[in-house]
This record gives sequence, structure tokens and C-alpha cells, in this order.
Amino acid sequence: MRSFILRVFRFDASRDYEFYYKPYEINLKDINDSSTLYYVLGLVKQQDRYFNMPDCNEFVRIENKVLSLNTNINELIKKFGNDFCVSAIDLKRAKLDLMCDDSDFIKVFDYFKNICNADDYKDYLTYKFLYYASDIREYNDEFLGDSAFVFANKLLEKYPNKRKDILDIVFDKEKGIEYSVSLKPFLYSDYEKYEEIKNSLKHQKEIR
Amino acid sequence: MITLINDDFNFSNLLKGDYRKTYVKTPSFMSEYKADEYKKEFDSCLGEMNLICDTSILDYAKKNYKNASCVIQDLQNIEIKNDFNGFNVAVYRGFTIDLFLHFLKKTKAKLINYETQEFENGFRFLDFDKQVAYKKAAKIVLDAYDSGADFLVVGDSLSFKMFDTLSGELQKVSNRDFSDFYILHMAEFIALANGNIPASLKEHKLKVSLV
Repeated sequence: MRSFILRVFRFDASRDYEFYYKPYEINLKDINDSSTLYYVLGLVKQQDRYFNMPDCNEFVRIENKVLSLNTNINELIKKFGNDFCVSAIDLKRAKLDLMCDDSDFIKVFDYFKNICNADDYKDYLTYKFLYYASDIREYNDEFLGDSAFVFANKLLEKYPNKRKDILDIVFDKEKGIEYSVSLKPFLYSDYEKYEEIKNSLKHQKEIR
Repeated sequence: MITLINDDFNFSNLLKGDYRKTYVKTPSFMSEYKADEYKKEFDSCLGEMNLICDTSILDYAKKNYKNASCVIQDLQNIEIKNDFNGFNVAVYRGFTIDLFLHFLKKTKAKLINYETQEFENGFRFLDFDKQVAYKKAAKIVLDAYDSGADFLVVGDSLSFKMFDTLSGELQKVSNRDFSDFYILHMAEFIALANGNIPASLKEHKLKVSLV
């Protein structure tokens, strides 16, 4: 094996009617043991200057598993073979190639606005991948996202006196934690960690 | 904690075409998996000299329980009289069912991989949002159906209830007709491979056209 095929999700919301996967051949000589997926996308950019580079801290989806662009590429080749598709984290919200429109994710922060400050907002943004990971938003548009629950768990430690307000958001009947599903099929790594956080939150329902 | 029906199979009884239903309290879905409670349940079940077919417990037994070897042994000793050569089989893996996949290989059936094979079956949503529950279950069944599977094998009774007993609702919600598709419980599949036709096949909502 001297090269592998990377099929990259291509879509321009302002021009295209449908998305497609464009194959790029990557020579294995060009990568080394510590190359990340982001580095490989850089090689794609060299081949095709119309490809839009995503931010380096973005997340993408491979075979339905969400993973960071900082994942090692050799690990991915081992797991998914030498021909796999990289798609945007949410196909329906894709804006330009691998980048997505995240306005709905940012809107959810409004519920927490009165509780926390601008520093926490930065923290909230790091959980974007959890918001888009599971498929439950297909059935419930209002759903807060797993990101909100993991974030709320952090806030609980930071602001113990605002406990009731935070938990009221988490246990909302229409869009709250009841709707959240197991992340196991959706995350490439660390799903146990987030499941544990969500379980510990669920147990606080009665002692709110 | 939800009280639910677990088909409680003693494999050797099953092969004689005779099996019972008991009520076992089990944490119903993965996200609230508590090892201690599982062990308690497993202890009480073993006390009655029954082997449990619900794969989540089986899986737990394999990892943590000394007597698990007898469970595994039982599965491996089952003789295959009818093989499933030429069949495309989809397996729902809401619970890990490595042991069964091993058995499936022996029957020469072709395993179909589909995207939603590990998704939650939606049972949990039945209490508060039936529409979401049906849609989630319908997505899994239809995905298996569209991937070219002849039938779907499930390892636990909850998923069976979702996919088969409620199949009428699933078809209504998804606006799709899959009445020529059918669901088999893992234990039924094992019995069929062993050359027995379990009586429970007649009770399925989605008619089994295999026999």
C-alpha cells in the first residue's frame, strides 16, 4: 500500500443543490507517524485549491463516529481501511465543505446567559461536537444537546448556589436530558466519560 | 428501574421446544448500567438454575462471573443442523452480543452491517414521547431492511417488543410498509439452527416466512 483514498465531503450551501464526496489520493510518503487528520486535509488543499480548510479545532464524522481533526491519521487508516469518507459533523447544517452553520448550537447558550459569564461561553463552545453528535435532533428540534448537559455539570461545580436554576434547564420536560440518547454509536472515543456525566446528572433529579 | 419481561431461556430446554417466561427486574438500558444490580439479578436467576439469554446479562456474566463459562459452553455445544447459508442477517447490537456473532459465523449466514446497528431502540421514550420512540425504532428496522437483510436478529426482549410487537405503529409513523420483513429473537434463531421450530414464531406480528 503506497497511498490511500480520502473521500472528502464537499458542499457549498450558496451554490450546490446536493453534497458529494470527492476522492483524493494521499501518498503515504507524505505523512509520518504523528500526522493528524488536519495535516492530511492540508495535503488535500494543496491538490485542490477550491477546498475550504476547516478550523484546526473542528470535528468531523467518519462512518457516523464524531472525531477531532487532531486524531492521528495512521490510527484512522488502521480502523477504517485505506478508503474512507470524511463528512461534515451534521450533513443538514453544512455550510461550506466541512464547516457547519452552528447558530442553533449558540442559541442554546441563551438559557445559561443569566447564570454565567463570558469566560464560560468560551468553555461552552468547546462542546460543540457533542451537540451535533447524536441523532435525536432529527426527532426533537428543541433538544438542548448533550453539550448543554456536560456544560451544566461544569457550572454546577462552579456556581453551587445557582444549582436550582441550572438543574431546571437540564430537566426541562420538552427538551431536557430525558431525550438524550447513548453516545456510544456516535463518538469515536471517550463516550464513557460523557455518559457518566449524564448519568450523574440524572440522579440529581429528585434532590434538586 | 422498570419491570420488564425477559425471555428466560435455558438453552437445553429451548432445544426441546420448551421455554418459559419469567419476570426479571433489570436496568433497562445501557446508559443506566449498574454492575451491582446486575450481579444481584444474575445471582437470583442462577439460584433457580436457569441460564439467561438476555445478552446484556450474558455479556456481564462473561466478563465478571465465574460460572459464565457454562453459559458460553452451552452456546458453543449447540449442534447446527440447519445452516443459514445464503441468508443475509442483520443483528441489532443495542447490547453487546459478541458471543452470538460467533455463533452466527458457525451457521454460515452472511452478516449485514448497517449504520444504526448500535442506536438506542427507543423503548425508554415510550413513557413520555411515543412518537420519538416509534421513529427511533422504525429507523433501525428500516435501515436493516434497506441494507438488504432478510431478517433482523435481536438479543433482548425489549428490542423485540419495540420492533415486532409495535411494528404496526412503526409502519404508520414511517409511512413505509415492511410487512415482508421479520424479527427473530436470538434464542429462536439458535433453535432454528438446531433444527427445531419454536412455537413462539406463530405469535410474531411480522409473519416469519422462513419456515
